[in-house]
Amino acid sequence: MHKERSQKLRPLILLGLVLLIWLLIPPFFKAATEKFFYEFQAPAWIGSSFARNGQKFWTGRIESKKTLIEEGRDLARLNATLQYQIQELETLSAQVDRFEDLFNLPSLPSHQAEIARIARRDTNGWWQELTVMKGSNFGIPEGAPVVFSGGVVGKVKEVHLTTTVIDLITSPNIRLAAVFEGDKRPVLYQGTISGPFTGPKGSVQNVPTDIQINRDFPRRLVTSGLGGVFPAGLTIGWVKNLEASSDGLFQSGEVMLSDDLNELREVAILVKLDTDG
Amino acid sequence: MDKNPDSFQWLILFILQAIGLILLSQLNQSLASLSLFLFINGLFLAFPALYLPIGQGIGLVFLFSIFYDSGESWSIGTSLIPNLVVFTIVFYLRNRINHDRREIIKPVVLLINLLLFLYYTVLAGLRFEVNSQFVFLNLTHLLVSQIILFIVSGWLISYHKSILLIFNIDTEATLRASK
Repeated sequence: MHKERSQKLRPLILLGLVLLIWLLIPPFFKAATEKFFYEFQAPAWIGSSFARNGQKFWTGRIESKKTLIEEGRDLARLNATLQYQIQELETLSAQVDRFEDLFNLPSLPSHQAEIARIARRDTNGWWQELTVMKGSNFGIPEGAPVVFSGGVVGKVKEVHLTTTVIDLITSPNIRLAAVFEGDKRPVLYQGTISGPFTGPKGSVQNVPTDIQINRDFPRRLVTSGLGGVFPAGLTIGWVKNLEASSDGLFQSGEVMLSDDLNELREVAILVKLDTDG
Repeated sequence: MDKNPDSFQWLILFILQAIGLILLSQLNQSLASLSLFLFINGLFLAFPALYLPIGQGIGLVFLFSIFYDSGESWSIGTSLIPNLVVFTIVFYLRNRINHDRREIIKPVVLLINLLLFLYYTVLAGLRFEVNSQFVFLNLTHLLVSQIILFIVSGWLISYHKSILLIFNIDTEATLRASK
Protein backbone atom coordinates (compact mmCIF):
# COMPACT_ATOMS: atom_id res chain seq x y z
CA MET A 1 0.00 0.00 0.00
CA HIS A 2 2.76 2.41 1.06
CA LYS A 3 4.88 1.39 -1.92
CA GLU A 4 1.97 1.91 -4.30
CA ARG A 5 1.36 5.38 -2.87
CA SER A 6 4.99 6.42 -3.15
CA GLN A 7 5.00 5.07 -6.73
CA LYS A 8 2.01 7.29 -7.47
CA LEU A 9 3.68 10.34 -5.94
CA ARG A 10 6.98 9.73 -7.72
CA PRO A 11 6.29 12.01 -10.71
CA LEU A 12 5.28 14.85 -8.39
CA ILE A 13 8.35 14.37 -6.19
CA LEU A 14 10.58 14.32 -9.28
CA LEU A 15 8.90 17.45 -10.66
CA GLY A 16 9.42 19.27 -7.36
CA LEU A 17 13.03 18.11 -7.17
CA VAL A 18 13.89 19.24 -10.70
CA LEU A 19 12.27 22.64 -10.15
CA LEU A 20 14.06 23.04 -6.82
CA ILE A 21 17.41 22.16 -8.39
CA TRP A 22 16.72 24.63 -11.21
CA LEU A 23 15.97 27.41 -8.72
CA LEU A 24 19.16 26.66 -6.79
CA ILE A 25 21.45 26.65 -9.86
CA PRO A 26 23.54 29.87 -9.84
CA PRO A 27 22.55 32.41 -12.56
CA PHE A 28 26.02 32.45 -14.14
CA PHE A 29 25.75 28.69 -14.73
CA LYS A 30 22.33 29.16 -16.36
CA ALA A 31 23.71 31.95 -18.57
CA ALA A 32 26.66 29.76 -19.59
CA THR A 33 24.28 26.87 -20.43
CA GLU A 34 22.12 29.20 -22.52
CA LYS A 35 25.18 30.46 -24.38
CA PHE A 36 26.39 26.92 -25.00
CA PHE A 37 23.04 25.76 -26.38
CA TYR A 38 22.72 28.90 -28.50
CA GLU A 39 26.18 28.53 -30.04
CA PHE A 40 25.41 24.85 -30.58
CA GLN A 41 22.37 25.76 -32.70
CA ALA A 42 23.90 28.71 -34.56
CA PRO A 43 25.91 26.62 -37.11
CA ALA A 44 22.67 24.89 -38.13
CA TRP A 45 21.05 28.25 -38.99
CA ILE A 46 24.17 29.42 -40.79
CA GLY A 47 24.34 26.11 -42.68
CA SER A 48 20.75 26.36 -43.81
CA SER A 49 21.33 29.94 -44.90
CA PHE A 50 24.21 28.71 -47.10
CA ALA A 51 21.91 26.01 -48.46
CA ARG A 52 19.34 28.68 -49.42
CA ASN A 53 22.07 30.69 -51.15
CA GLY A 54 23.10 27.58 -53.09
CA GLN A 55 19.50 27.02 -54.04
CA LYS A 56 19.28 30.60 -55.33
CA PHE A 57 22.52 30.16 -57.28
CA TRP A 58 21.26 27.02 -59.04
CA THR A 59 17.88 28.61 -59.71
CA GLY A 60 19.76 31.55 -61.29
CA ARG A 61 21.70 29.16 -63.53
CA ILE A 62 18.57 27.95 -65.25
CA GLU A 63 17.42 31.49 -66.07
CA SER A 64 17.44 32.27 -69.80
CA LYS A 65 20.29 34.34 -71.27
CA LYS A 66 17.77 37.03 -72.25
CA THR A 67 16.70 37.50 -68.60
CA LEU A 68 20.33 37.69 -67.47
CA ILE A 69 21.19 40.28 -70.17
CA GLU A 70 18.17 42.38 -69.14
CA GLU A 71 19.13 42.19 -65.46
CA GLY A 72 22.75 43.10 -66.33
CA ARG A 73 21.52 46.16 -68.26
CA ASP A 74 19.33 47.26 -65.30
CA LEU A 75 22.26 46.81 -62.93
CA ALA A 76 24.53 48.88 -65.18
CA ARG A 77 21.98 51.75 -65.10
CA LEU A 78 21.73 51.48 -61.32
CA ASN A 79 25.53 51.50 -61.04
CA ALA A 80 25.79 54.65 -63.14
CA THR A 81 23.27 56.43 -60.88
CA LEU A 82 25.06 55.26 -57.74
CA GLN A 83 28.46 56.37 -59.10
CA TYR A 84 27.04 59.85 -59.62
CA GLN A 85 25.58 59.85 -56.08
CA ILE A 86 28.95 58.77 -54.63
CA GLN A 87 30.61 61.77 -56.30
CA GLU A 88 27.93 64.06 -54.86
CA LEU A 89 28.44 62.54 -51.40
CA GLU A 90 32.21 63.04 -51.62
CA THR A 91 31.70 66.71 -52.50
CA LEU A 92 29.22 67.17 -49.63
CA SER A 93 31.50 65.34 -47.20
CA ALA A 94 34.41 67.62 -48.16
CA GLN A 95 32.15 70.65 -47.60
CA VAL A 96 31.13 69.38 -44.15
CA ASP A 97 34.82 68.89 -43.23
CA ARG A 98 35.60 72.43 -44.40
CA PHE A 99 32.75 73.93 -42.32
CA GLU A 100 33.78 71.90 -39.29
CA ASP A 101 37.30 73.32 -39.57
CA LEU A 102 36.04 76.83 -40.24
CA PHE A 103 33.66 76.98 -37.25
CA ASN A 104 35.67 74.68 -34.99
CA LEU A 105 32.74 72.24 -34.73
CA PRO A 106 33.04 68.71 -33.30
CA SER A 107 32.95 66.03 -36.04
CA LEU A 108 29.64 64.37 -36.85
CA PRO A 109 29.60 60.70 -35.86
CA SER A 110 30.60 58.57 -38.83
CA HIS A 111 29.80 54.92 -39.35
CA GLN A 112 31.24 51.97 -41.13
CA ALA A 113 28.72 49.62 -42.75
CA GLU A 114 29.22 45.94 -41.96
CA ILE A 115 27.20 43.93 -44.48
CA ALA A 116 25.70 40.77 -43.00
CA ARG A 117 23.59 37.99 -44.48
CA ILE A 118 20.39 36.96 -42.73
CA ALA A 119 20.47 33.49 -41.21
CA ARG A 120 17.14 33.44 -39.46
CA ARG A 121 13.91 35.39 -39.33
CA ASP A 122 11.54 35.40 -36.34
CA THR A 123 8.60 37.56 -37.30
CA ASN A 124 5.60 36.35 -35.37
CA GLY A 125 3.30 37.53 -32.61
CA TRP A 126 5.95 36.89 -29.97
CA TRP A 127 9.13 38.23 -31.59
CA GLN A 128 10.07 40.60 -34.39
CA GLU A 129 13.72 39.69 -34.89
CA LEU A 130 16.35 38.81 -37.45
CA THR A 131 19.53 36.83 -36.88
CA VAL A 132 22.50 37.66 -39.11
CA MET A 133 25.69 35.72 -39.78
CA LYS A 134 28.16 38.12 -38.15
CA GLY A 135 28.76 38.56 -34.45
CA SER A 136 31.45 39.59 -32.02
CA ASN A 137 33.97 38.02 -34.44
CA PHE A 138 33.33 41.09 -36.66
CA GLY A 139 33.25 43.58 -33.79
CA ILE A 140 29.50 44.22 -33.95
CA PRO A 141 28.47 46.32 -30.92
CA GLU A 142 25.16 46.01 -29.07
CA GLY A 143 22.63 48.75 -29.87
CA ALA A 144 24.10 49.50 -33.32
CA PRO A 145 21.63 50.68 -35.99
CA VAL A 146 20.84 48.32 -38.88
CA VAL A 147 19.81 49.59 -42.31
CA PHE A 148 19.16 48.43 -45.87
CA SER A 149 18.69 50.20 -49.20
CA GLY A 150 15.09 51.03 -48.28
CA GLY A 151 15.88 52.56 -44.88
CA VAL A 152 15.93 51.42 -41.27
CA VAL A 153 15.80 47.68 -40.47
CA GLY A 154 16.19 47.82 -36.68
CA LYS A 155 18.68 47.81 -33.87
CA VAL A 156 21.19 45.21 -32.64
CA LYS A 157 19.74 43.46 -29.60
CA GLU A 158 22.20 40.68 -28.77
CA VAL A 159 25.67 39.89 -30.07
CA HIS A 160 26.88 36.29 -30.03
CA LEU A 161 30.10 34.69 -31.21
CA THR A 162 29.18 34.31 -34.89
CA THR A 163 25.66 35.71 -35.01
CA THR A 164 23.79 38.88 -34.07
CA VAL A 165 20.12 39.23 -33.15
CA ILE A 166 18.42 42.36 -34.49
CA ASP A 167 15.23 43.85 -33.08
CA LEU A 168 13.18 44.69 -36.20
CA ILE A 169 11.68 48.13 -36.68
CA THR A 170 8.26 46.44 -36.50
CA SER A 171 8.97 45.37 -32.91
CA PRO A 172 6.97 47.36 -30.33
CA ASN A 173 10.25 47.50 -28.36
CA ILE A 174 11.63 49.95 -30.94
CA ARG A 175 10.79 53.59 -30.20
CA LEU A 176 12.74 56.37 -31.84
CA ALA A 177 12.61 60.06 -32.54
CA ALA A 178 11.68 60.77 -36.15
CA VAL A 179 10.86 63.77 -38.32
CA PHE A 180 8.70 64.23 -41.40
CA GLU A 181 10.74 65.05 -44.47
CA GLY A 182 10.90 68.86 -44.73
CA ASP A 183 9.93 69.43 -41.09
CA LYS A 184 12.28 69.81 -38.17
CA ARG A 185 9.93 68.99 -35.26
CA PRO A 186 10.52 65.55 -33.77
CA VAL A 187 7.72 62.98 -33.56
CA LEU A 188 7.68 59.55 -31.94
CA TYR A 189 7.87 56.37 -34.01
CA GLN A 190 7.01 52.97 -32.51
CA GLY A 191 6.86 49.53 -34.15
CA THR A 192 3.56 47.66 -34.14
CA ILE A 193 2.59 44.06 -34.73
CA SER A 194 0.68 43.85 -37.99
CA GLY A 195 -1.92 41.23 -38.82
CA PRO A 196 -1.41 38.18 -41.02
CA PHE A 197 -1.04 38.58 -44.81
CA THR A 198 -0.34 42.32 -44.43
CA GLY A 199 2.78 44.40 -44.92
CA PRO A 200 4.96 45.58 -42.02
CA LYS A 201 3.68 48.61 -40.13
CA GLY A 202 4.54 51.02 -37.36
CA SER A 203 2.85 53.97 -35.72
CA VAL A 204 3.71 57.65 -35.36
CA GLN A 205 2.63 59.73 -32.37
CA ASN A 206 3.01 63.28 -31.04
CA VAL A 207 2.62 64.78 -34.51
CA PRO A 208 1.86 68.56 -34.38
CA THR A 209 -1.67 69.36 -35.56
CA ASP A 210 -0.50 71.68 -38.35
CA ILE A 211 1.12 68.82 -40.25
CA GLN A 212 -1.36 67.77 -42.90
CA ILE A 213 -1.09 64.67 -45.07
CA ASN A 214 -3.03 63.96 -48.22
CA ARG A 215 -3.81 60.25 -48.65
CA ASP A 216 -2.75 60.42 -52.33
CA PHE A 217 0.62 61.99 -51.43
CA PRO A 218 2.09 60.07 -48.45
CA ARG A 219 4.86 61.79 -46.51
CA ARG A 220 8.20 60.20 -45.79
CA LEU A 221 9.13 59.69 -42.16
CA VAL A 222 12.88 59.78 -41.53
CA THR A 223 15.18 59.38 -38.54
CA SER A 224 15.87 62.61 -36.69
CA GLY A 225 19.37 61.79 -35.49
CA LEU A 226 18.26 62.58 -31.93
CA GLY A 227 19.11 59.91 -29.41
CA GLY A 228 22.44 59.23 -31.07
CA VAL A 229 21.69 55.73 -32.33
CA PHE A 230 20.43 56.26 -35.89
CA PRO A 231 22.07 58.80 -38.20
CA ALA A 232 19.66 61.50 -39.38
CA GLY A 233 17.75 61.21 -42.65
CA LEU A 234 17.24 57.44 -42.94
CA THR A 235 13.84 56.40 -44.28
CA ILE A 236 11.59 54.76 -41.69
CA GLY A 237 8.42 54.56 -43.78
CA TRP A 238 5.54 56.49 -45.31
CA VAL A 239 2.55 58.02 -43.56
CA LYS A 240 -0.72 58.22 -45.51
CA ASN A 241 -3.10 59.45 -42.88
CA LEU A 242 -3.11 61.24 -39.52
CA GLU A 243 -5.86 61.35 -36.92
CA ALA A 244 -6.25 63.70 -33.96
CA SER A 245 -5.35 62.06 -30.65
CA SER A 246 -7.94 61.96 -27.83
CA ASP A 247 -6.52 65.08 -26.11
CA GLY A 248 -6.62 67.01 -29.40
CA LEU A 249 -3.10 68.39 -28.87
CA PHE A 250 -1.34 66.05 -31.28
CA GLN A 251 -2.02 63.64 -34.14
CA SER A 252 -1.10 60.02 -34.63
CA GLY A 253 -1.10 57.65 -37.59
CA GLU A 254 0.03 54.44 -39.20
CA VAL A 255 3.46 54.17 -40.83
CA MET A 256 3.68 51.90 -43.87
CA LEU A 257 7.11 50.25 -43.81
CA SER A 258 8.89 48.79 -46.82
CA ASP A 259 7.46 45.42 -47.95
CA ASP A 260 11.06 44.38 -48.62
CA LEU A 261 11.56 44.00 -44.85
CA ASN A 262 9.95 40.56 -45.11
CA GLU A 263 12.14 39.54 -48.04
CA LEU A 264 15.54 40.88 -46.94
CA ARG A 265 18.60 38.71 -47.54
CA GLU A 266 21.32 41.15 -46.44
CA VAL A 267 21.48 44.13 -44.09
CA ALA A 268 24.13 46.70 -43.17
CA ILE A 269 25.05 47.13 -39.51
CA LEU A 270 26.37 50.64 -38.89
CA VAL A 271 29.36 50.50 -36.59
CA LYS A 272 30.31 53.90 -35.17
CA LEU A 273 33.86 54.91 -36.02
CA ASP A 274 36.05 56.32 -33.30
CA THR A 275 36.52 59.89 -34.57
CA ASP A 276 39.10 60.73 -31.89
CA GLY A 277 41.50 58.22 -33.39
CA MET B 1 27.35 1.09 -17.54
CA ASP B 2 23.79 0.27 -18.58
CA LYS B 3 23.92 -0.84 -22.23
CA ASN B 4 20.19 -1.46 -22.53
CA PRO B 5 19.00 0.74 -25.44
CA ASP B 6 15.82 1.52 -23.48
CA SER B 7 17.91 3.69 -21.14
CA PHE B 8 18.89 6.00 -24.01
CA GLN B 9 15.42 6.80 -25.30
CA TRP B 10 15.73 10.34 -23.92
CA LEU B 11 18.99 10.96 -25.80
CA ILE B 12 17.69 9.61 -29.12
CA LEU B 13 14.50 11.62 -28.77
CA PHE B 14 16.38 14.76 -27.73
CA ILE B 15 18.54 14.60 -30.88
CA LEU B 16 15.40 14.00 -32.96
CA GLN B 17 13.58 16.92 -31.33
CA ALA B 18 16.58 19.24 -31.67
CA ILE B 19 16.72 18.50 -35.40
CA GLY B 20 12.95 18.99 -35.52
CA LEU B 21 13.22 22.42 -33.87
CA ILE B 22 15.96 23.54 -36.27
CA LEU B 23 13.95 22.38 -39.29
CA LEU B 24 10.86 24.07 -37.90
CA SER B 25 12.73 27.36 -37.54
CA GLN B 26 13.71 27.10 -41.22
CA LEU B 27 10.11 26.42 -42.20
CA ASN B 28 8.98 29.40 -40.11
CA GLN B 29 11.52 31.55 -41.92
CA SER B 30 9.88 30.70 -45.23
CA LEU B 31 6.41 31.27 -43.75
CA ALA B 32 7.50 34.66 -42.34
CA SER B 33 7.04 36.32 -45.75
CA LEU B 34 3.32 35.42 -45.43
CA SER B 35 3.25 36.56 -41.77
CA LEU B 36 2.58 32.96 -40.77
CA PHE B 37 4.16 30.94 -37.98
CA LEU B 38 4.02 27.29 -36.93
CA PHE B 39 4.26 26.13 -33.33
CA ILE B 40 4.27 22.38 -32.58
CA ASN B 41 5.92 22.08 -29.16
CA GLY B 42 2.81 20.23 -27.94
CA LEU B 43 3.93 17.25 -29.99
CA PHE B 44 7.47 17.34 -28.58
CA LEU B 45 6.04 17.19 -25.06
CA ALA B 46 3.18 14.76 -25.70
CA PHE B 47 5.41 11.92 -26.89
CA PRO B 48 7.63 11.66 -23.77
CA ALA B 49 4.61 12.18 -21.52
CA LEU B 50 2.70 9.36 -23.21
CA TYR B 51 5.42 6.82 -23.88
CA LEU B 52 8.57 7.39 -21.78
CA PRO B 53 9.35 6.30 -18.19
CA ILE B 54 9.14 9.18 -15.70
CA GLY B 55 12.88 9.74 -15.17
CA GLN B 56 13.74 9.75 -18.86
CA GLY B 57 10.68 11.84 -19.68
CA ILE B 58 11.58 14.56 -17.18
CA GLY B 59 15.21 14.51 -18.38
CA LEU B 60 14.10 14.91 -21.98
CA VAL B 61 11.61 17.70 -21.20
CA PHE B 62 14.29 19.50 -19.16
CA LEU B 63 16.80 19.38 -22.03
CA PHE B 64 14.18 20.24 -24.63
CA SER B 65 13.01 23.29 -22.65
CA ILE B 66 16.55 24.66 -22.29
CA PHE B 67 17.31 23.98 -25.96
CA TYR B 68 14.11 25.73 -27.06
CA ASP B 69 14.63 28.77 -24.81
CA SER B 70 18.24 29.21 -25.97
CA GLY B 71 17.29 29.08 -29.64
CA GLU B 72 14.40 31.50 -29.23
CA SER B 73 14.75 34.78 -27.39
CA TRP B 74 12.99 33.61 -24.21
CA SER B 75 15.23 33.82 -21.19
CA ILE B 76 16.48 30.43 -20.12
CA GLY B 77 14.00 28.53 -17.93
CA THR B 78 10.90 30.29 -19.33
CA SER B 79 9.57 27.06 -20.80
CA LEU B 80 10.82 24.76 -18.06
CA ILE B 81 8.01 25.14 -15.49
CA PRO B 82 5.03 24.96 -17.91
CA ASN B 83 6.62 22.10 -19.86
CA LEU B 84 7.34 20.06 -16.74
CA VAL B 85 3.90 20.72 -15.25
CA VAL B 86 2.14 19.73 -18.48
CA PHE B 87 4.38 16.66 -18.76
CA THR B 88 3.52 15.54 -15.19
CA ILE B 89 -0.23 16.02 -15.69
CA VAL B 90 -0.27 14.02 -18.93
CA PHE B 91 1.99 11.41 -17.36
CA TYR B 92 -0.57 10.92 -14.55
CA LEU B 93 -3.40 10.59 -17.03
CA ARG B 94 -1.65 8.37 -19.55
CA ASN B 95 -2.89 5.07 -18.09
CA ARG B 96 -6.43 6.18 -18.88
CA ILE B 97 -5.55 6.94 -22.51
CA ASN B 98 -5.90 4.23 -25.10
CA HIS B 99 -2.57 4.52 -26.91
CA ASP B 100 -3.63 2.33 -29.82
CA ARG B 101 -6.18 4.86 -31.02
CA ARG B 102 -4.78 7.82 -32.93
CA GLU B 103 -7.99 9.82 -32.56
CA ILE B 104 -7.43 9.84 -28.78
CA ILE B 105 -3.74 10.78 -28.94
CA LYS B 106 -4.41 13.72 -31.28
CA PRO B 107 -6.60 15.73 -28.87
CA VAL B 108 -3.93 15.30 -26.17
CA VAL B 109 -1.26 16.72 -28.50
CA LEU B 110 -3.55 19.56 -29.59
CA LEU B 111 -4.54 20.44 -26.03
CA ILE B 112 -0.91 20.59 -24.86
CA ASN B 113 -0.03 22.71 -27.89
CA LEU B 114 -2.92 25.07 -27.19
CA LEU B 115 -1.93 25.53 -23.53
CA LEU B 116 1.71 26.21 -24.38
CA PHE B 117 0.79 28.62 -27.18
CA LEU B 118 -1.45 30.57 -24.80
CA TYR B 119 1.33 30.67 -22.20
CA TYR B 120 3.87 32.18 -24.64
CA THR B 121 1.25 34.57 -26.03
CA VAL B 122 0.47 35.88 -22.54
CA LEU B 123 4.21 36.36 -21.94
CA ALA B 124 4.54 38.23 -25.25
CA GLY B 125 1.47 40.30 -24.38
CA LEU B 126 3.20 41.44 -21.20
CA ARG B 127 6.13 42.75 -23.26
CA PHE B 128 4.19 44.14 -26.23
CA GLU B 129 1.12 46.30 -26.32
CA VAL B 130 -1.94 44.03 -26.63
CA ASN B 131 -4.17 45.30 -29.43
CA SER B 132 -6.56 43.77 -31.94
CA GLN B 133 -3.74 43.14 -34.46
CA PHE B 134 -1.70 41.26 -31.84
CA VAL B 135 -4.69 39.08 -30.87
CA PHE B 136 -5.70 38.46 -34.50
CA LEU B 137 -2.15 37.54 -35.55
CA ASN B 138 -1.70 35.12 -32.66
CA LEU B 139 -5.14 33.58 -33.21
CA THR B 140 -4.25 32.98 -36.87
CA HIS B 141 -0.93 31.41 -35.90
CA LEU B 142 -2.64 29.23 -33.31
CA LEU B 143 -5.27 28.10 -35.81
CA VAL B 144 -2.68 27.31 -38.48
CA SER B 145 -0.52 25.41 -35.95
CA GLN B 146 -3.45 23.38 -34.64
CA ILE B 147 -4.66 22.45 -38.14
CA ILE B 148 -1.18 21.40 -39.26
CA LEU B 149 -0.65 19.48 -36.01
CA PHE B 150 -4.02 17.77 -36.38
CA ILE B 151 -2.99 16.60 -39.84
CA VAL B 152 0.57 15.49 -39.07
CA SER B 153 0.62 14.57 -35.36
CA GLY B 154 -0.40 10.93 -35.91
CA TRP B 155 2.29 10.51 -38.52
CA LEU B 156 4.91 12.26 -36.38
CA ILE B 157 4.11 10.10 -33.32
CA SER B 158 4.55 7.00 -35.52
CA TYR B 159 7.79 8.52 -36.84
CA HIS B 160 9.12 8.93 -33.28
CA LYS B 161 8.27 5.26 -32.62
CA SER B 162 9.92 4.11 -35.86
CA ILE B 163 13.13 5.96 -35.00
CA LEU B 164 13.18 4.29 -31.58
CA LEU B 165 12.52 0.91 -33.24
CA ILE B 166 15.72 1.38 -35.29
CA PHE B 167 17.52 1.28 -31.93
CA ASN B 168 15.51 -1.80 -30.87
CA ILE B 169 13.28 0.18 -28.54
CA ASP B 170 9.65 -0.84 -28.71
CA THR B 171 7.75 1.88 -26.86
CA GLU B 172 4.40 0.06 -27.12
CA ALA B 173 5.80 -3.14 -25.61
CA THR B 174 7.55 -1.23 -22.80
CA LEU B 175 4.33 0.63 -22.05
CA ARG B 176 2.24 -2.56 -21.97
CA ALA B 177 4.78 -4.18 -19.65
CA SER B 178 4.71 -1.21 -17.28
CA LYS B 179 0.88 -1.42 -17.10
